[in-house]
Parts: sequence; C-alpha cells; structure tokens
Amino acid sequence: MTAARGGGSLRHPWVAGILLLVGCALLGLLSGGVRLSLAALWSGAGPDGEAARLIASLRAPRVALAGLVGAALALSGAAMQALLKNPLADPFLLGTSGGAAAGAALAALCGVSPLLSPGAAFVGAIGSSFAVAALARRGGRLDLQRLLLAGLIANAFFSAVLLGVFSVATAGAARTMLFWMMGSLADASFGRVAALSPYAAAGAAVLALHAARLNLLAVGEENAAALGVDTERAKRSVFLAASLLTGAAVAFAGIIGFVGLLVPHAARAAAGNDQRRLLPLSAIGGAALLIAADALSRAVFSPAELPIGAVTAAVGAPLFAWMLLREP
Amino acid sequence: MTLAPNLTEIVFALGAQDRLLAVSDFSDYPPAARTLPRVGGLDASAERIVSLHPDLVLASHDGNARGVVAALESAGIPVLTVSGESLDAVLDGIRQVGRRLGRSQEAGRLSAELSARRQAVRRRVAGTPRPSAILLVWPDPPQAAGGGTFLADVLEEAGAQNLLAGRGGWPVVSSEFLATAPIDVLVLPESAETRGVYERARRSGALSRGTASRARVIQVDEAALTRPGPRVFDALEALARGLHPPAAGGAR
Repeated sequence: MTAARGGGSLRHPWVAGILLLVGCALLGLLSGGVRLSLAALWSGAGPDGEAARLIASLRAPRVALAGLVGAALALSGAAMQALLKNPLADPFLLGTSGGAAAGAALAALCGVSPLLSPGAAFVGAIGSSFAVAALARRGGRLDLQRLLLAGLIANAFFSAVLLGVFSVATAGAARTMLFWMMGSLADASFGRVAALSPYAAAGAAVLALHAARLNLLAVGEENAAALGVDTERAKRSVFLAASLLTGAAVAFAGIIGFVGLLVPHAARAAAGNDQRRLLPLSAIGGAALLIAADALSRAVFSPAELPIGAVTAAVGAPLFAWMLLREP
Repeated sequence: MTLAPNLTEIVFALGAQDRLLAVSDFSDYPPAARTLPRVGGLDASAERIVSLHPDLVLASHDGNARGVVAALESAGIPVLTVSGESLDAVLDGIRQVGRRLGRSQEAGRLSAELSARRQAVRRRVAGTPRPSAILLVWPDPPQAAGGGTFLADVLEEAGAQNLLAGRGGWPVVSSEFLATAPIDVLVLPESAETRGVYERARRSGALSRGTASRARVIQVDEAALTRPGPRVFDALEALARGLHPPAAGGAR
C-alpha cells in the first residue's frame, strides 16, 4: 500500500464509497412513480399492502441489477484505463459495447427470440474484443495505440451494422431494439440478477488477481517485464475480463455510457492510482451511480420512464467536463 | 399514388382505386390493394416515385419522411399531405382527398356517414361512467398513447378516461405504474405480428402483475385502430362496445 499512498483526496474513501452506495440504494427503493415509505415497502402491510408488496418486488431486483451492471461497467472502464494508461479509455471506445449491440440486433433481425438476445449481445461483445485484439496485435504484441484505433474501426463498423438492421427491421422489432439500445433496466428480476452474477464475478475475479500487475504495467511495460511480469499475458487477460464485464452488462441492460468513463476517474481522484484500491472503489461507485441514475429515470417523468442511457449521459457529460476542467 | 396505408384505404373508400398507380409497402387493405405496385414504406424512394410520373402523390403528414416529400415537390410533382392527428383530421383528410381526385360528392357522403357513426357512439357513451383505460401501442417496453395523440382521441371518444392523458406523446410507462394504477381496461392492438408479444407481456412481462393483470382486456384490430383512415370508425365502435357492453344497458 505504501507505493501508492498518495494521490487521493479522501482520507476514508471506503467509508465514503459504502455510505454513498447505501444512500443510493435507499434512494432507488424509495423513488419511482408511487410514493411509499420504507416501512411500508419492508412490511408490505397497511392500507396499500398489496401495492407496497408489488412495488417492493419490482424495485428490489431493479436496484440489485442496476448495482451489478453499474459495477461491471465501472470495473471494465477502470481496467481498460489502467491497461491503456489513458484516462479516456472506456469499453465503449474500444468497440466492445458496439459489438454487443450489433450481435443482439442481428439476432433480433434473424427472428431469434428476444429472450435469447442477451446471449447474442454477449457473443457480439466477445467477438468484437477478439477482432479488435487481433487488429491491434503487431509482431505478437498487443500494441496499445493500435488497440485504440482498432476500437475506432470496430465502432464505425458496428454502427453501420446497427443502422442497416434498423432500416430493415419490422416496426415492432425496431421499437424494442431502440429502447434496449438506449439502456433499460425495466425488465429486471432476481432471475436476471442471478444470471448476470457469474459473469460479473468471473470478470471481477480476474481483474482482482491482476490488480498488482496492473500497477506495475502502469509504471512501464519494460519495468514490469524486468520485474518478472508476463506483460502480454497480463494485458490479454485484463482485456478479456473487461470485455466479459462489458458484454454481460450490455446484454442485460443495453447500452449505458459514461459509467465506465466517469466512475474510475472519480475513484482515482478520491483514492489515488493504486489498482488494488481503485478497482473495488470503482465497482462500488459504479453500482451507486447506476442505482441513482435508474432512480432518476423512474422519477423524473413518472409514470413514464426515461432511458437510463440518456440519464447517465445527461448527468455524466457535464460532470466529466467539470472534472476535466478542474484537472491541473 | 399513395405513400401510407391509411391513404390507400381512403382512396378505395372513395371508389377512386382505378386512379391508383402504386401504393406504399404496408397497403394491405382492401385486399385489392395488395396487387398494386409498391413504392416503399414511410421512407419511400423518391426516384422510384418520380420514374412512375404520378399526377398526384398522397403523403401522410406525420409519417412520411420530409425529405421524400421535399424531393418530390422540387421535382415538380404535386403532393397532398394529409394529417391524421385526430378523428376530425381524418374526416377532413377524406374531404381533401375527395376534392383533389374529383370525388367531392363521394367524400362528402363518406365523411357525413362516418361522422354520424361517431355521433351515435357519443350518444351511446354519454352519461355512462367512463372506465379508466390505457391504450398500449407496444408491450416491450410498454409504450402507451399519451394525451393529444390520435389514439388518445379514439380512446376518449369511445367513452374511456385515458389514464395517461396528462402525458403527451407516446410515454414508455413503468412496470410500477402498470401494477398499481387504477386500470379498469387495457386496450391492446391485435394483429398476427403482435399477438405473441402481448401474450408474453401478459404471462410474464410488464402486464403480468397487479392491476394491469386484473384489468379487462379489449383487443382491437391493429390496422383499423392505428391507421387514420375510414376503418378507424369501425375500431371506434368496437372499442365503445367493449368499454360499454350493451347487455348491461350501456353501463359497465
């Protein structure tokens, strides 16, 4: 811990992060179209007992899914930023989300049941990651500059695929697709939370195992190699784990931007650059941010719902601009 | 030539179908319309239309891409854009189309007849309690007709109170709202394409919980309901019958 003691502005980043997460979770449970006290939600008793039970059964899995998706996106962003040594790196930048979206859209076009679209999104994300990694490889090495460019190419290609699918899809399919692409947690259930958990856990575990190596990579690849790190393998594993996290998040909640960009940035400002702290703090912050964004998406135009991708972008872009301006 | 299915239906209803050179892709009613050449959907190809040398193109004010209409106008082809934002607009559109096709008399008769049918519906539902209803246009995610839309006009004319009247446009409503709002009636558009999605929503999706799951469901033919043409008055009558069954003397 001594190596990366400095850099953070918060003395107790853990306490702050966990308090933030708990606060956002409470906000998530309490906000929405129907106003209910926490006690009523918990007990399901009182004059509106049935309504309270229904709403608790709808909101609780939603908060859980938002937290899990937010954590996955933020972890993925933190890992990619460390990998590329670029604070502007992000799973969306590298074409992972675009691949996921294109996969799901193509599946919908081919008449695959909408129930299977998460699987297709996942295949698209992983496929895009492999393609981008292959493009970025030069002489057996993963070249970081080429990786960014390959991401750019992948995004251009996938947006072409998406626009093509849109123009030939039936009106109904296009509608479902459009809302999924804008990000949605509307069909959250504990079943979906359970289905997402193993992917999120696997991605997080790989990143946790590589946190110390990421610190060494940040100092410089030559130095890391000199210290006995198999840099190529480490970079590959981190890249795949980040892709897995993004693919899973997109598959279950559509395209949600800015979480992967904003949260690691904020975590770095609060707690410094040590990946062993930065990664878990990013996960906590990402969960808190997405739960809050989802609460907003349900409350602002209730009973209508805003697409959560619009909320994260509307809140995230100005915040990010402010952070950029504050930077020395 | 028509660029939207409701306009094709209007032309047929006026008995002017022999003047039709081509129709839009989704023009499937009446059956005779299916044999006519197609020129594309809402984003019809201007080049193809120009190459057919029509004397007049009928376009939908809300549906057709502005670019196509502008391109046709700049190519010197007369375009009549017809609005479909309310039942009144539909009657007005019928008269406009009639005038341009030299069928003013038929158009006058047709709009008077449709208008009389609407009056009959109004008389029927007057004074009866208005059930609270939501008219969905798509179940996944659940998107409904908000205030000020064409379908909200149909819903209210049929004697229902639109629970989403306070929200303009086509709001995507939350599952919480669908599970707890005081919904008496759910109006669902019915077609071969949408049947499966609505069934799934009612079995395990957004319509499977709370008040939405207990609400009375009225299914109305989707094409008749959602196309602002003559058949929307069939849908209006069907909806009014569903909302106010005659057996109960007009009341629920």
